[in-house]
Amino acid sequence: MGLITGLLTLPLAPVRGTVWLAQIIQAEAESYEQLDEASILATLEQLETARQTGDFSEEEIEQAEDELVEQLMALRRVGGEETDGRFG
Amino acid sequence: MTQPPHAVYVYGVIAATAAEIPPVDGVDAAPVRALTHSGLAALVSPVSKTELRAKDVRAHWRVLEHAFEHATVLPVRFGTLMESDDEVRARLLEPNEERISELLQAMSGLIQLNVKGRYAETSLLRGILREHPTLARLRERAERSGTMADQIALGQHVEREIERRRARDTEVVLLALDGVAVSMREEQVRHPDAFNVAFLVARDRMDDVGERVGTVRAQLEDSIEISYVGPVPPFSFAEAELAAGERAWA
Amino acid sequence: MAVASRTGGYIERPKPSGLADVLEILLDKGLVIDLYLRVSLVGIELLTVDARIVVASVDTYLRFAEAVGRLNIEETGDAEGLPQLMQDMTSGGAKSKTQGALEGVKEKLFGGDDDDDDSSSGQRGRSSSSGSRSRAARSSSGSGSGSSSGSGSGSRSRSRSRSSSS
Repeated sequence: MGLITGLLTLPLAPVRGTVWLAQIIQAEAESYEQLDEASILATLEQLETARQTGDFSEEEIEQAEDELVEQLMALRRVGGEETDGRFG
Repeated sequence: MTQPPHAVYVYGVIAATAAEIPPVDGVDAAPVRALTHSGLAALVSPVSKTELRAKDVRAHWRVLEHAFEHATVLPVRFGTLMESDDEVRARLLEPNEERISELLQAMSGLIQLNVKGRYAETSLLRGILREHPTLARLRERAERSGTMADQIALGQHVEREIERRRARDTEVVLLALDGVAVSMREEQVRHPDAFNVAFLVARDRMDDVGERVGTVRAQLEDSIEISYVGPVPPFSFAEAELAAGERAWA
Repeated sequence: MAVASRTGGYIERPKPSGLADVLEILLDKGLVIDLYLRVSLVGIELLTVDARIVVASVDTYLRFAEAVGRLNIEETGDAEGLPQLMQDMTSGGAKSKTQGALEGVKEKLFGGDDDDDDSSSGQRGRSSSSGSRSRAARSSSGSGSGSSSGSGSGSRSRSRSRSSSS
């Protein structure tokens, strides 16, 4: 499990940075029935805004973004089997 | 033990005669090369892994943006690997030379810009309700009866009006850019997005586009959050499915 | 961001693509090179047809019906609906919910006016009003997929000035 999803189980604490980012992601996820592509992209947009406000370090934002991109790719991933025929 | 596969990551294709592109690093910080064949050059770099990650998306994008500053680029979709340089030449560039050259020619001097819009749902629904008395009546009926059938009927009508509204608002964007854009393409959007229109324009007409986007924003900003993004390589317009050629013998 | 044009209008400058924009483009658009190799090495579904693309369903209709039904309550000035009303009055409706969502989360973590972190009083003022904005947003379950986020430097600067004026 990634850093962000691990933090989602922590109790709330007045610590800036990754905990807050985790809450953003959780809040966004909760507003959708499941974490689907639309919610991932929406959360990424929110992170872009967070980047502009300067409340977080570039590293923190990038880390959160990376987690989300991984989830997006996981959603789209086919079974990793070798295929010999044409795809799609 | 199996060796990690060696493969060639493909970013895009440029003309072999294109201006020299300054060095840039791609996936896993490997330097990007221009692999030439006939009049074409594929932008590639070596990779030796099977799983692509977020930073590879960033790397791919960085390479394309960089190349795009210096040459016409036909961007390739993320995650495209081929076995070797020879394979790139023999199976990508050679069998598709004509088609790729056509596309490069067509895209010369052109950039893509996107105008995106998103509704604030509450004001959208309010506006629709104001415009359509039938909806207000349907709403009252659903309120009184509380039946699912009436709720669904109300929802269906609302959904239809949203679609109509979306078409109308998109038309504003299309009309505004008509005459400046070489080509326009409506991308698929999902509620609460209003539209995502890609425009293909000449680089030197960007200011004209910018002025028209300003008028669109003035017209629509009460109900739509407008986003104007770019310039990017012509992803939405240089679409082609290129078949890999047959493997060469030996 | 906009600059004045010769004719007196404003020329907007486009903003660079954020990661969400990049993903939409890079994963779904561009040349497709149809190779079995791509699948076996990468294992990523690239020729994706998003199954979740809106094909209007009963769920969607019910959600719209609920959202429209709620409008009625707010217009009669119900206390719970007041923040929503205020938001519409000040911003004309189209604003960045990102600001609200972020501030709402901040409020949840740090408390509202009592927090003694380094936010300015102006910011604190904004946070409390957007806090109630996001509270209203959260209490309305139907507006889940309606959350919008700030995008575009042009629109972002506009929406930020709107939300701070509320």
